[in-house]
Amino acid sequence: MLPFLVGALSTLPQVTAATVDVTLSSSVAKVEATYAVRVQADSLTFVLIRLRDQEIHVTAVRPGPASMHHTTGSVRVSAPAPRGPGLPAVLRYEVRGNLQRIPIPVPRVPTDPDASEVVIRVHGVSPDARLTDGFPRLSRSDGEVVTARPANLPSFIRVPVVETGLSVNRLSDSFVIVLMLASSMFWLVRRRALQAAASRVR
Amino acid sequence: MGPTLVIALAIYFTIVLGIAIWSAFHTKTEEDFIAAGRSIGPFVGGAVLAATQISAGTVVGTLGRHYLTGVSWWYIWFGVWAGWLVSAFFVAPKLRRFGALTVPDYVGARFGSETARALAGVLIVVSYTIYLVAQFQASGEIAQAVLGMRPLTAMLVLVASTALYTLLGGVRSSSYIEFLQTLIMVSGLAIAVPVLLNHAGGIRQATDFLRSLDSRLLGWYYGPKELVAFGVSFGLSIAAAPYEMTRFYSMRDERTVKQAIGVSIGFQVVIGLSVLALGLLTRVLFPNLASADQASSIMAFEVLPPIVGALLIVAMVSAIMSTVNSVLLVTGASVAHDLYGRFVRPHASQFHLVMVNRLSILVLAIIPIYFALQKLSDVQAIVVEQTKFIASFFFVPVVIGLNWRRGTAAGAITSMCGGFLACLVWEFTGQSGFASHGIDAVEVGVGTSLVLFFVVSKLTKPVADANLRIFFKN
Repeated sequence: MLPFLVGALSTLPQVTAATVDVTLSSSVAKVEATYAVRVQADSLTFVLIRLRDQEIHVTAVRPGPASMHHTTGSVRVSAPAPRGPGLPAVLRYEVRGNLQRIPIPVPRVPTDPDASEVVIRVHGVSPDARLTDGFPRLSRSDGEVVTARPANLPSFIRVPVVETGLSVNRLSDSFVIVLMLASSMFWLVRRRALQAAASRVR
Repeated sequence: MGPTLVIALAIYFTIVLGIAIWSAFHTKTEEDFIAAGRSIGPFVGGAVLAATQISAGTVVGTLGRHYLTGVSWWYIWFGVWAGWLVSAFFVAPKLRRFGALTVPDYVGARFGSETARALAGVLIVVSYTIYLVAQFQASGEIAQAVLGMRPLTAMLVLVASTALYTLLGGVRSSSYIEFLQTLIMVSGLAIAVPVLLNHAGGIRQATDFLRSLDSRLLGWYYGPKELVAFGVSFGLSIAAAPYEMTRFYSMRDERTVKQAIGVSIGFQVVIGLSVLALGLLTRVLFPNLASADQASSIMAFEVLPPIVGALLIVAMVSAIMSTVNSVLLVTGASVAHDLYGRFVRPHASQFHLVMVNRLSILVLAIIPIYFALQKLSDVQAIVVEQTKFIASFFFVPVVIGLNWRRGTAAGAITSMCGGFLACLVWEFTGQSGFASHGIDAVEVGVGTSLVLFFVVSKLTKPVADANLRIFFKN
C-alpha cells in the first residue's frame, strides 16, 4: 500500500559507532571523525553542513581516495566504503572562520538509537562556558573537554561560549513558566468573576 | 531533562485526573456522558475540535513527514480546512439542530432506517480501531525514544490513563481536558520553533543546508496529483468525521458550533506552521534519522531546553490522549447506544447503557495494541489510510444526505457499503499504478459512494416527510 509513503529509511545499512574529536584553538578547529559502518555499497558519502563565514579543508580521508563536491549549503565527501570487520572510515579536516558551530560529517547511512554509540568530544572549551547553550547536549568531562553522547549524529556541534546575558534556551524555559503561571492566574480570576456573576443572578 | 520531564508529566496527569473526578460528579445521564449536557461554549469548543483533529498523526506523523519530505506536505492542510468549512456551513448546524447523541443517530433518523444506523455504527467501530493503531504506535515511538520504555508498556499506560478519564467523566471531562491539551500543544510547539531556529543558525543557513540535502525539501517533493489526493482524503473525512461531529452535539447551539470551528481553524494554523518549521529544522540538526517518526521525540529530548522539551513531550502525550479519548467515546457510543441500546436491549436503563458504554471503551482500547506492536506502516500512512475509508463511506450519506432531501435509506446503505468496498479494492489493486493514472483510492471510494447514492435513491421510495422535517426547512 502506498509504497512512496512508507519510510524508505528502514531498510538502509547502519552506522554502528561514531567518535568525533574536535580540538579548538583561537583560529582553527581540527576535527577527526571515525565511523564504524555496516554497509553493502562500494562507496560511502558524508555530508558536512557548510556554514556562512566558514571554510572547511578536508586533510585526510581513510579509506581513500575521496572526491568532494561543494554546494552553497554543504560539502559532500565520497570515499570507498571500508571493507572487512573492524575497519573504520576516518575523516580529518580543519574548520576556519566562525567557530561557533563546527560541522560534523553525517554519513548517508542512519544511526540506530538502540544499537549505535555516538561520542563527540570537544577539547579547548573555556571552563566558564555555559554548557546549556551548546548543541547537542553537552557535559563537562575534564577541565576544557566537553562530551556529548547523542542517540543520532548531529550535523554540527554548537560550541558553548562564555556569555553573561540571558540565552534563548533560558529565555524560552522562563517563558514557559511565566505562561503557565499567567494562564493559571487568568483562569482563577475568570472563574471567580463567573461565580460572582452567577451568584448575582441568583 | 529526566527529572523535569517526570515533574511535568506528574503535574499534567494530576490535573487530568482532577478534572476527570470533578466531571464524574456532574455525569448522571447518558446525555451528560455523551454530550456534556450540551453546555460547551465556542472557545472551549474550538480548542476541543482542534485537540481531536491534532493527533499523533500531527505531532509525530506530520512532523516526521515534513522531516522526510519537506514543505509540500503542508499544502494538505488546505484540504483539512476546506473540510472544516464544509462542515461549518453544510453539516454542523443541521446536526446540532437535530440534537442527537451520535452520528448513527442521525443516519437512522434522516433515512428512517435501523439497518443504516447499525451499518454506520459497525463501520465507525472498524475504521476508528485502525485510527487507534496509529495513536498507540506513536505512543510507543515516543516512550521508546524519550524514556527508553518498551512500546507495550507505554501503550498500556496510555490506555489505562486515557480510559480512566474517558470512563469517569465522558465528554464533559474530555472537553475541559482537551481545552487544556490544545493550549499545551499550541504553546509547546510554538515556543520550540525559535529555539531550534537559534540552534540552526537562522532561516538562511537552514534553507541553504536543506536545499543542498535535497532540493525537493523546499519545493515539490509530492506532485500536485498526490497532494490533491491526500488533501481530498483529509478534507472529505473531516467534513463527515464522526468523532468531530459528536463534539458538535455537546455545544450550546448552532451559532456556537460555527464559532468553535473558526476558533479551531485558528489553533490549527498555528500548530500546522509550527510542525512544518520543527520538521524542517530537525532535519537541519539531525539530517539522517533511522525513522522519520522519531524526529519529534528526538527534537524534544535532545535539542530543546529541559522545560520546553518537557512541555513538548507533554504536548505529544496529550495529543495522543485527546485523540484516543475522542475515538473511544465515538466507538463506545456506537457499540452501546447505536448497537446494544437499539438491537440487543432496547429498554435498557440509562445506568445500564452508561455501564455498557464504559465496558465497550475498555475493550475497544485494548484491541488496537496488538496491531500497533506489529508496526505495519509509519504513523502518518496509517492515518492517511483511515481517512480514506472514513471519507469513502461517510462523506456522501452525511454531507449530501443533509443537503439533498431525495436521498433514501437504500441509497445510504448501498453508498456506505459501495464506497467502503471500492476504496478497499482500489487500495489493494489500482493504487500501485497511482504514478501513471493519478487516481487515488479515496476518489474511487467517494465517487462510487456518490453514484450509488444518487442512482439507488432515485430508484427507491422517498423517505417520509416526518424524517426530513428537522433537516430541511421546506
